[in-house]
Amino acid sequence: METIPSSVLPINGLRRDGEGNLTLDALTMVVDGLKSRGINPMDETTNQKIRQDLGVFLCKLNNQYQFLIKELLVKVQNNEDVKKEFLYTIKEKNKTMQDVINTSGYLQGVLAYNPSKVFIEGWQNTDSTMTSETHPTIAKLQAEMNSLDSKSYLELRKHMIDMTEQKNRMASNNLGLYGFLNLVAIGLLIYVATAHQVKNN
Amino acid sequence: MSWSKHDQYNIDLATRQIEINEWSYNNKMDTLFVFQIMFISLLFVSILMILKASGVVGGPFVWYSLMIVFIIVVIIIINRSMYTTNRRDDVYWNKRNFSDDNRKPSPLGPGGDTTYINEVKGCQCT
Repeated sequence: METIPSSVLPINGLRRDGEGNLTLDALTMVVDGLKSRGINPMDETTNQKIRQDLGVFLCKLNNQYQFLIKELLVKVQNNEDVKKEFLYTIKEKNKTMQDVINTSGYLQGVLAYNPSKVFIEGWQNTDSTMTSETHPTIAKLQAEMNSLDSKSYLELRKHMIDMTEQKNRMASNNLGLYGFLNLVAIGLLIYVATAHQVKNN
Repeated sequence: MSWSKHDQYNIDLATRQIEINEWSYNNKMDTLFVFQIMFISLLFVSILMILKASGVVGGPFVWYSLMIVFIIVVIIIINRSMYTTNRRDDVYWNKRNFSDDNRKPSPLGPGGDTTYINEVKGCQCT
């Protein structure tokens, strides 16, 4: 699966901290890259457009990422070998998604703080740096990254147990609903039959 | 790939739990299918009864229709039940057991002296 090109994040090899977040100098480099192309992120309208672009980019990345995670779940469930290239692709998607969120947060931060401005995914940002403690999506992505690093995929298996339990609950709910509907249908049938008999008598 | 004993235990446990949940889910979905068939049939029968009461259709038509619907529903239920009881694998819902030794019989015969398989087995391709 090819990487989706982004107009904001064209640079490979950006520096990350221990948690996988882009460092401040990497984020500055992204902003400098924009400025060198005549895009001024300090302008509010431009800044908003860049963040919109990042939002769309994140959405596309997320679609690819979810698809790959589902494929991985199927492979793990069937005890198939998971190729290194496949895992690498998923990890790269994960990293890029974190980069997009970091960059978007940073771009929001370079503007003056305005609480009425909502960050992508409805998150209101007051800080230019984001960590797993301040952003739930980053925390989730980092947890999934750790899970991908573990060769046993135990976390994924636990996640699959949760998923299958949810499927079971959904099926049970539908069974209850159709049980009730069947009772209603039987009641209707009895009502029609008795009404017909009364009419005949 | 080798894991520690503890990891292996957890992996086996999780894998089995997933298998159980999947089987249970599919069993419920199969039951749901039967429930839906019953629901549709009951509604169909109710509509027929209403039509009969209002004189749109005659009595024989209604009774024949009822009989056909009843037979179809019974066949579906028996078929699903027999398949799950006798043929379906105990671990994987979509896996079918073919016979006692769980081997699919060849459409060309069991492989005795007179079958096509034996005739071509010894032939040499030149």
